[in-house]
Amino acid sequence: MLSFRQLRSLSLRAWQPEWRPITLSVIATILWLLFWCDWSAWYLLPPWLHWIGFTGELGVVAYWLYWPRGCNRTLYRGILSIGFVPFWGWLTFASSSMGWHPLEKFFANVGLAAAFIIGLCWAVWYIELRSRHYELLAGQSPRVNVKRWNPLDLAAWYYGVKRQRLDQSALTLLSYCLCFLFVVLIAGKISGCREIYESPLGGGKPKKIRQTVKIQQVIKRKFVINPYSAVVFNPPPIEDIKLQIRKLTDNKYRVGYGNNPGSGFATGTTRGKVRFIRLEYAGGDWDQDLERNADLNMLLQYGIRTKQQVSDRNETREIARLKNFPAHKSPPFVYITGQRNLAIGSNDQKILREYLIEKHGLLFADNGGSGGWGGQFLQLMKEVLPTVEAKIIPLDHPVHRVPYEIPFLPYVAAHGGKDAIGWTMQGRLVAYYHPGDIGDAWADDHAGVSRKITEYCYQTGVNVMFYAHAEYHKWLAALEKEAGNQR
Amino acid sequence: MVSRSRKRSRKSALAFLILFLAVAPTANALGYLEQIQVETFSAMREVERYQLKIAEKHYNKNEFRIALDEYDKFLTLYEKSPGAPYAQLMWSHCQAKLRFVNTAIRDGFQSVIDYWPESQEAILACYLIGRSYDNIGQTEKAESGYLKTVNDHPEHYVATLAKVNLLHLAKVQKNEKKRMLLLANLTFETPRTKANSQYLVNATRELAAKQLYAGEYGEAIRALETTYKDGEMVKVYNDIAKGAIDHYLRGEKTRKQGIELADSVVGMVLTLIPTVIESDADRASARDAWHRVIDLYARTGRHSKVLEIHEKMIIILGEDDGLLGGLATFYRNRKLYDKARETYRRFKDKVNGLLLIAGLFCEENRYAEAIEIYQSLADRIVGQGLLAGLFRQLEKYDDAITCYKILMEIDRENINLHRWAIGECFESSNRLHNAIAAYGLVDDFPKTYFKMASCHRKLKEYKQALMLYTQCKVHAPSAPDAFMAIGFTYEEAGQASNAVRAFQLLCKNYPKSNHASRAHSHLQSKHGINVTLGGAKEE
Repeated sequence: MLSFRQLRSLSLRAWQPEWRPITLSVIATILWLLFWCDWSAWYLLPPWLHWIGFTGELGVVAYWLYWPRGCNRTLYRGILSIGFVPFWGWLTFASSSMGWHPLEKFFANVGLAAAFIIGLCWAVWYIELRSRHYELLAGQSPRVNVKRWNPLDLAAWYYGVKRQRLDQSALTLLSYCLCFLFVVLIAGKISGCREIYESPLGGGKPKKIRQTVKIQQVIKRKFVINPYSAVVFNPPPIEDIKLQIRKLTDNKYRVGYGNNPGSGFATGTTRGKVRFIRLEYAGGDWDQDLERNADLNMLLQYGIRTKQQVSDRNETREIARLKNFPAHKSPPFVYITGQRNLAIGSNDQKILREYLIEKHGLLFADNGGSGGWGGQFLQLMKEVLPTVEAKIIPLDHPVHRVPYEIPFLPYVAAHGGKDAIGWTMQGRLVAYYHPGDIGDAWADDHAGVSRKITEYCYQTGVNVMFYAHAEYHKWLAALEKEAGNQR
Repeated sequence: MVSRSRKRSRKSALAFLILFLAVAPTANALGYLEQIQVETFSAMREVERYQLKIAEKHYNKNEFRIALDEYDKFLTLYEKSPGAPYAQLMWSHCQAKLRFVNTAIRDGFQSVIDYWPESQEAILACYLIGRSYDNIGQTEKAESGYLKTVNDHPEHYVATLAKVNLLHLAKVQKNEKKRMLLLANLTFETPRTKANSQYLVNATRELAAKQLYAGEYGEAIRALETTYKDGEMVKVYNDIAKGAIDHYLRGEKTRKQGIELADSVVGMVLTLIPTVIESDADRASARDAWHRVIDLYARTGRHSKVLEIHEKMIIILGEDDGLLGGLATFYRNRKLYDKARETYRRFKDKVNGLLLIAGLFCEENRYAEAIEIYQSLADRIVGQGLLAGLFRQLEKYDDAITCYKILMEIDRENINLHRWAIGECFESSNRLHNAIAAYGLVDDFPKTYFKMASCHRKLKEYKQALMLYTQCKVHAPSAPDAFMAIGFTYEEAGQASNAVRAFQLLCKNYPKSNHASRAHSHLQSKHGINVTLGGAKEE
């Protein structure tokens, strides 16, 4: 263990001019790692800070690329190789932030392949260097009949007598692959194993939204005319006199669940935000309308209408990653859409079942464009919830009443009927299926449907999101109460 | 005195007839849970009946919003009427149909129970509360509603309905114990009436089937005996046992059990055969029993026994086409075509026998012999029709067209059908101009126009195709089809902007149709157009 004095002298040495660049680079790298974790899992920092963090690390890389000119080529190549990682991270982050999801996937995959090859090159180079060194040592020293274990030494007993170099290369490749796989798995776990979802802290009641309009003052222009005047006046007719009404419009209603001030949920947190998570799945177009900001528009509309804190970006997750959320910090709803194939394996079905039942989640499905997708979704739900029947959700169900009263189910195109279908467990809606491409109406151009239908589509979206959050927090509140009683 | 009482009875008969005529048409259109009792209807005043009939007229036309207002009006105007609970019940039905199920329960069915607890409608409302909750997936509330119905009105028809729905819920929830309890209750304990009989019979059969699958054969027979007697019971037992036999035969370990069950059923079925066969009824019951035995042996793969029984039947009952047909089918399934042909030749109905032989030749790909038989048939209409069909199957379209032309002369009643078939032959052989001409002769708008337009599209004569599709738009039910086809035609013609416009118009004008859904997806996937117009209309 280092003593306090040793630590102090080490820290002083680290800030000396010759060590300062290295110290700063290490700090920048740690910060970069934290930014990366936050971007992929924690969601605590705003996106502009991510941009600064990721771009700043590129500056550090540029400095190191500039610095060693004239020094040996191996060191320069090492810097290039290490510098590749932040560059790869920046490309992936930037394409994701710009909403170019196919490009993000491309950069992620190509970068991973490149990282594998770079690492392999370095492993081969190092093994070759060391084995040459041992060969040289063996040539200089007299032969001693000792069993050697060092894998870098070609004379190690397990390489045998023939084709030692081939055996060493094979072992190197195998070991490298295992190590790389291990690192990738660990990195994947870091970004996925500790995900949490926190709703905004606040209160409110699950009631219909009503606006308070109070007329503050009416200013009426008066025309005072002397009836005995010699001048002829032409006063305007009464209907042409414009009333200047100053309205005081205030939405007194707080959308939420609980008694805390502001709109939100009693079991939420101050840093919590409502998020919009779309599920990724294999075989189809899960990302339909994503580039047209359907999810983001809906999320922002939810924030504007409910006055709850919302995230400033939409998110996507593979179904398998739902298991990374703990039961009490899990997203109250997830969204799924598409129009082609819906291929969800039995493992993902199990995760989905656990999410819906044990984590009290809600699956918000939207038929993005074909009867086939609708049929596949209904079949999927039969497998996920085999003991629950799909039923038409009535128009006076709370999900269609609160906070907005929906007079009829709005749709863009009736791909799978004209009624919303629900799966109810213990009085709670666990899945909501919209048959008519509601996501298209949320997208930037609203699919060209009328303003009224677009508005109803947003209202339906708000209702489903709010219902999911309210039910989730009712459950959390009940759990808290139960725990309190037990104490 | 006598004449006065006669006059009175005549008057009452007339009144009853009028009343029956007034109630009958509506009663036919409405289901059991939506009907008013005759006694209640007769106790109402004329104005009240008139108001109810107005409301019912709209209800039957699926104009539920108007019907709702009419029932509401009835309740406002005639609150004290004997028909008020019925009006309230129907008001609730309207709400449920308009997808306001919670309102229907809370303000409708519950109000019937609260305000008129002694009425017949209150009993129906009690059940309907459970069913409404069931319809919206609130299973816990539905179950308690059904249980309340069963407990409060155990003798009433709705109690059976409630039990049947509880049974369905248990099935969905995979609660086998509860399911068996309900089935046993419906089979053994529920009093049988004419109204609930079908539900109870179904429950009995379901219970017997489940017991057979579980290997409780005696229990299954005991259940069936509550509903069926002697011979009928054996037949039903046989019908139900088939599924269980197949189930046992599928498993390697349970195969023996399957064969044993089949043998026991065969033993029971054989008792149905009269010892002395004299009358036609005896012959019919023996034939039916033997056919059942044949089916059971065939299921268990004992074909020699099947053949034995076929031959035995022919010997005992005498040779007829039905029995010979069964034997021939047995040979046919075993691919013993010569023996099958030989059996068909023994048919009394020689023409039918020949047709079946020709069919057999076709099955063996010996078409020349089949054609020879069809040509030799005395009934030329049948012969030429079959011949034409065979030629089409063999893709010999010219020969088929020749047959159809002969048919046009000898069977003028169906001339349009033959012209259409000629058009199809021309189309299949890619002589599209001839096909268009042939379709043009058929008087069947807009079907022919669509066909002709499709040929023009294949010929890349897009302008003509579009003209025909445009005319099809006049026919309202075909208009979405026409719009869709117009869009695709423009696409094929390379006029993408016009195609997009056609698809957008389809989405806008017919947003509820399936075509609008297809057009919407097509615009997005093929043209990358997201502004597809369309959208729901207020209903």
